[in-house]
Amino acid sequence: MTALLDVRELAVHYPVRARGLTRRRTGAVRAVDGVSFTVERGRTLGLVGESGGGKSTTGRAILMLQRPTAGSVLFEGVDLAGVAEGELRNLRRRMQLVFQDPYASLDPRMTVGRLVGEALDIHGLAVGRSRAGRVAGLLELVGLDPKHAGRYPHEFSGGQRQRIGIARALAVEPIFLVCDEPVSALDVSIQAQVMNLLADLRDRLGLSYVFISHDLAVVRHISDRVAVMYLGKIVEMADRDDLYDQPLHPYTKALLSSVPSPDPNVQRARERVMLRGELPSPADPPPGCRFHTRCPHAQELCRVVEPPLVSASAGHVVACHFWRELRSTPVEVTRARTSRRTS
Amino acid sequence: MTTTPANDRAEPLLEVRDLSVGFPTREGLVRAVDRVSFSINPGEVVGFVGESGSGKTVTALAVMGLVAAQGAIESGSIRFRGREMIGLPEGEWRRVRAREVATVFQDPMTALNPVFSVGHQISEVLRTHLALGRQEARERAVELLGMVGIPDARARAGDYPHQFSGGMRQRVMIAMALSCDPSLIIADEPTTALDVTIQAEILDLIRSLSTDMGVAVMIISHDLGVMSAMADRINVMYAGQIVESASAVRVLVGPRHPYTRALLQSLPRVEGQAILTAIEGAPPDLISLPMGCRFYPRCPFRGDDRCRDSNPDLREVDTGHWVRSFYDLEPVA
Repeated sequence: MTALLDVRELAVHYPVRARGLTRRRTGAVRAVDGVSFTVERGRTLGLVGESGGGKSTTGRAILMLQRPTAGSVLFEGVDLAGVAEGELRNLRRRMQLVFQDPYASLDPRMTVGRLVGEALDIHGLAVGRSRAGRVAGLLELVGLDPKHAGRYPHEFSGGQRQRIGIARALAVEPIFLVCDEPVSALDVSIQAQVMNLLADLRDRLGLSYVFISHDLAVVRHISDRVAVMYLGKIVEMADRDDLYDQPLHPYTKALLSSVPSPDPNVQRARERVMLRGELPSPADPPPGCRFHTRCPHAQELCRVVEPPLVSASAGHVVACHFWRELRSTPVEVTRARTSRRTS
Repeated sequence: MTTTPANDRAEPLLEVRDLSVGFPTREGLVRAVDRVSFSINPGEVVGFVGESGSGKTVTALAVMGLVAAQGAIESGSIRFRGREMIGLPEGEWRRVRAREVATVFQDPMTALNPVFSVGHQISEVLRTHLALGRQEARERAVELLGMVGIPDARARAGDYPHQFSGGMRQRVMIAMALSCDPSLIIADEPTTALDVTIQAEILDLIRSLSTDMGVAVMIISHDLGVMSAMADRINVMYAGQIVESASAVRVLVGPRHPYTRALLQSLPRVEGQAILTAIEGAPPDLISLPMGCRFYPRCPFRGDDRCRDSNPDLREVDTGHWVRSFYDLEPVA
C-alpha cells in the first residue's frame, strides 16, 4: 500500500530583494531545502527542531498554504504541487491544519456553533437539523458540552478553545491533520488533556498527523516516527524510540541533552553536548554541512561537502559524515555543571 | 502552629510572611497572591513553579515593590536583610531595586532600549547607581559582557540590542542585572522564549553566577524541568497560594501534595512515558474560588467534605517539607 503522504525533495525559498525601486532579487531564504518523508495511514510523523529549522514552513507547504518552490507532495497519490488553486478546496476537505494559538484562530464575534458549522457550510456538507446535529456531535467528539454551542470563544479556557479549533478541523471529516505546535500555548496541566485527545481521535477515526513542535518530550509522546530539522533540512529521521534512545546526529544529541529533566536524578546524571556559536541565518546557510559551524565534531570535510541523508539501520537515516565514528567512539561531552542540591 | 515554611539556616536575605496582593476589578477584588510565605537565604536558588494565574509573577513583582501601581499589598511583610520593606517610600524601594535586587525577564527586547548600544546602557546604570566615571563605567561594562559569555565583548559593546540573537540578548540582560553586584536576582521565565540548546546555556550561566558569586536567585517558571535544573528549593503555586514547599528533590521525586503529583504525572518526558494522566478541568477563576481547597474540584483523590468546605493550611509533613492539603500522600518509594 502506498503511503498516505509522500513528500519528495520539497523546497520553499523566499526571495530576498534589494531595497529601492528595482526590488532586484538578491538571494533567497531557503526555509525548506530538499525535504523528503512519508506518512503512513493512521500514523504520526513528528517534526522537531529549533526555530528557523523550517518545521512550520514544511507543514504549510504540505497543505499548499505556501506553494513549494520545488519538489512534490503526493497525497493519496495526487501531486498537490500540480493542482490548481480552485481544485485544492476539494482536496483540503481531506487535510486540515490545527494551529498553535486557539485565541488568534477563532473569530471572537462568532458562537462556537457557528465556528464549527462554518466549515460544513463552506463545503455544503450539512444544512438545517442535520447541521445542528453534526455540530453537536463534533463538540461531543472533542469533549465539549454540546449545550455550549451558543457561547463565544472568550467564555472558554485555553484548553477548551484548542478543542474548538480541533472540532473545526474535524468538521469536514479529514483523514490527515497538520498540527502546528498545538499544545505550546497551553498550561502544563491542560497540555496532557489535548495530547490525549489528539491521540484518541487519531486512533478512533484513523487519522494521520504531521505533528510539529519544538518540545522534544511532546513529540516523543505523540509520534510514531520523528524527523529532526536544522536550517531547512532533515538531519535525522527514525522510528520514535530509535531516535530518542539511539540518536546518531550530533544535533539530535545536543537537543536531547539540552532538555532539562524534571527528575533531578536524571538531570544530574545527564551529560550535555555543548554547541558552539549561534544559529546561522537561513538566508546564508554555511557551505558543506549546515551544522558544521556549531558541531563539536566538525572536520575539514564537513566545511566543504554536504553530507547526504544515508541509511544507518532499517528506517533510521542520518545526514552526517561521521555518524559511524561518533557512534563507536565515546562522544566528547562537557559534563553539565553539577548541582549543589541537598535533599 | 506556625504556617511559615522556612529554612532554618542563617539569617535569610529575603523573608516574606503572609503576603496577600489584591487587584480591584469590576467583578470584585481578585486576590492574586494569598498569604504567601517563603524565605531566600544568601546564595540560594529558590524556584516558584505554577501555571498561568497561579500568582508566581505577582509574588515576584511584590518583592520588587512593583505592584503598588495596579494592585495593592493587602497584608503581610517583606523583609530584606531583616528590614521591613512594606510601607517604605518609593525612593527607598528604588535604592534596593538598584543595588540589591536585579531582575531578568522573559523578553529582553522589551527591557532594553533599542536606540542605545548595549555597552552604553550598562554604563549608564553603573554611572547612575555606582557613580563611576565615563571611562571606568565603559571598561566595567565590557568586563560584565565578557563575564556572561558574550564573545568579543569589547567590540560587541558598541552593538545595538537588535544586533544580538535572543540568547545573546538575554546574556546582555544578565550582564546588566549584575552591574551593581546584587545579592538577589529575580528571574521570571528567563528562558521561555529561547530555543532549547540556548536555554540550557542560559540556565548554566545563571546557576554558575549563583555558585561562583554567591548571588541568591528567585527563579520563576512554568517548567518543572527548569526547576529541576536550577532550584535548591521549590515552591509550587496554585490559584494564588503556595501548595507545596520543599527541597527540589523532595518536590520532584517525592511530592506529597495531590496537585504536584498530578502535575508530574501529566508531563511528557523526553526519556519516554507510556501514559499521560491528564488533570481534569482547568485552574479556578480567581473571581469565584472554590470554598474549600482550591484544587478540590480537580483533585484526583477528591478527598472528603473537609476538602470541599475549608481551605487547608500549610503544614509541615516532614522536616522542611510543607504541604497545603488535608491529605498527606505517602512519599513514593
